[in-house]
Amino acid sequence: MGALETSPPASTAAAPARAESAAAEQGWSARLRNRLLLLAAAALLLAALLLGAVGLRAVEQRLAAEVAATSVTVGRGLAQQFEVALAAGVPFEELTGVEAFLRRATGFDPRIGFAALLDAEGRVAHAAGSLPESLAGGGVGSLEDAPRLGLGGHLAVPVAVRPEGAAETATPAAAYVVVGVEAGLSADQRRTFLLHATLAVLALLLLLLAILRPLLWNGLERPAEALAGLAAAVRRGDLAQTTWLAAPGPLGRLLAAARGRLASVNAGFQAFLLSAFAARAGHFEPPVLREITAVVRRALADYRLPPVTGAWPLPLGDAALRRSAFFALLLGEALLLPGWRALPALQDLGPPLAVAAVQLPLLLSLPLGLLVARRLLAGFAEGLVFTAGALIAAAALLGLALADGVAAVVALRLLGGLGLGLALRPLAAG
Amino acid sequence: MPGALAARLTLALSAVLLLLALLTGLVLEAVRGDAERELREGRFVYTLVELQQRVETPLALGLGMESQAFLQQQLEAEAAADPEILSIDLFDAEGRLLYSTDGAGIRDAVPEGWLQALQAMPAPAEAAREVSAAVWRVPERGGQALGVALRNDFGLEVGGLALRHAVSEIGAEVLRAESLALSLLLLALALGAGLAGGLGFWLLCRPLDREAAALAAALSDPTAEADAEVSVAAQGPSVEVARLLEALRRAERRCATAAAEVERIDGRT
Repeated sequence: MGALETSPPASTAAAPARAESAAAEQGWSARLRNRLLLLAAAALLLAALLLGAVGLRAVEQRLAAEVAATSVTVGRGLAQQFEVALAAGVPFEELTGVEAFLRRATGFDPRIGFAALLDAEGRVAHAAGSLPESLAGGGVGSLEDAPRLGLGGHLAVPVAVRPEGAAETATPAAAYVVVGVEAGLSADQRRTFLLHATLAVLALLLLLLAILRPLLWNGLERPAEALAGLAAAVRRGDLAQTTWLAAPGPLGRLLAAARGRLASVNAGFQAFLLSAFAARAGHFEPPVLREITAVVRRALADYRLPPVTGAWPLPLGDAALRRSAFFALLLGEALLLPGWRALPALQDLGPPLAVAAVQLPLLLSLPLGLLVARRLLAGFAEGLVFTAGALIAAAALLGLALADGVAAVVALRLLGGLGLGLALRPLAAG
Repeated sequence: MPGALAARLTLALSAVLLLLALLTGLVLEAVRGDAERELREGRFVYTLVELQQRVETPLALGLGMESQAFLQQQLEAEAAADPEILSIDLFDAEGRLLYSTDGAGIRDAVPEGWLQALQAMPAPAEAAREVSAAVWRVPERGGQALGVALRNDFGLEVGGLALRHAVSEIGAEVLRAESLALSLLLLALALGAGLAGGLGFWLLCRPLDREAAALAAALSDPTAEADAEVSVAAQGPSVEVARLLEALRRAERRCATAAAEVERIDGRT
């Protein structure tokens, strides 16, 4: 290689560097990136499970008042009939067809698990439906002051049976009617919640990956690639390339230190060349001149120096950028997932118009977002523009969960595309 | 700043978890609303069906509805039992109001929509298969009207029973307060999960940060010993940096040797 070669790096030299840096990228940085992504996904899934479980429990507790009111309504209807029998002087033990009468109540609604007539001591006299073990095994004791009973996943409010016209406080109850209504959500409602929650978690998982990938690319993978490329170039003796990449944290400082040390080596070589030229200028004997030239040639053999104290930028791969763009595209589609409320309105439009209403706004506003971001990047930091875009896209995602008309879907898809465009441009610039 | 990458990842994760909390809250609120509406409607339908039987039994004995004065008392007792029941009305086949718990009492006929809904009811045999099929529903301002048809022994429609109820008007303040409490609980949990995730990010990034800091110090100090800079556990770019440092040192040595040689030649002559 020539002593002061100043041509840009040859493509033949860049190819092995890229291969080596790609191999390095598959190493420690890829391992750490995968661990971080896995941790984030696990945190999201665990949080979803926790929030789902706590939220369901809270909702079921709030439903208890409605469940109790249903138990009272059905129980009161049954108790009124028993009170008629009591007023006619028929003892409960001699009543016939009570089970069939109670079964009519249990068959009224699938949420009603059982209906039972209990005597004053809380022992079961007649019952229909699937009686819980605590009740079937001999009763529940005195029900005088029992406001609510939790029986095998059912909630029941005892309704006193008193002779017609008897004062509620003065006359003790002759019997109690207990109607068990399924506590909490029904199986159908749980399925609906699970389906919607799963769709929301999937959409958010894609959103999380789409946000984390560029962050990891900028903060981890790209610096690692730059460091590996720099090491490979210097080992080949190519001191003409450096990296101008800036990264956050210690990895960024490491890159800066490597760049500084390389600049120091290049400065050392420049100083040596200047001193060699000065030495040559002070001598006229051909053997001395030849000797100095030979020393310079030996020193620079296998090394390529930059033209000035600066250097050529190290070429970096753009595979990660393509991956980020792919994830952003997935995010664009994921933005649709929570829009189930708008499905009936879209179905009414018919397939061609529905597809156009969903896809065209995004395709139109995405380039607009890129254009706006290009202008914004002249005056604002890349991180700020990216965050603003990501927040707009997230707001569109949240809004879609509430949208129930075509106009709202179109508006939110326009907004989502604008946000995606804003968020993508800084990535392309980086 | 140490942990800069972990901090950025934590912020992103927390933002997504807050979105998750909001979406979970929305879905839970929707499911709760459905469940409450279903329970409430089931309760009102049961009341209607009970009243229907009490009205239809005397009809079989040949008594007309106009002569069953006790029905007014029964309707009032049922309406008073549930605060969400606005009124219970009993009307004949022409829509004339016979008994009503409506305190205002200014109507003598039921709304046209109720009669249309009554006429659109399926045949008795079909309605008997499922309770919900025998009930008509008409939305009203701030509530809903549910109704059943009244038939005599020959299956002829002689009138109808209608129950008007409020939709989440009663106890709305309590509901709003409970919804706010649930939303705050979900947000707090999401924030906690975000912080836990952030701790995980920090723990995963810490070895790399320490290693990178040690390597940066070694690269910045040209007088450091050859092996000192890669003595930390190699989980990060130690291998690349060691190679880079070795190559740079080789270049520095060659440069220094050549400079000394030129100086020697210059001084000798």
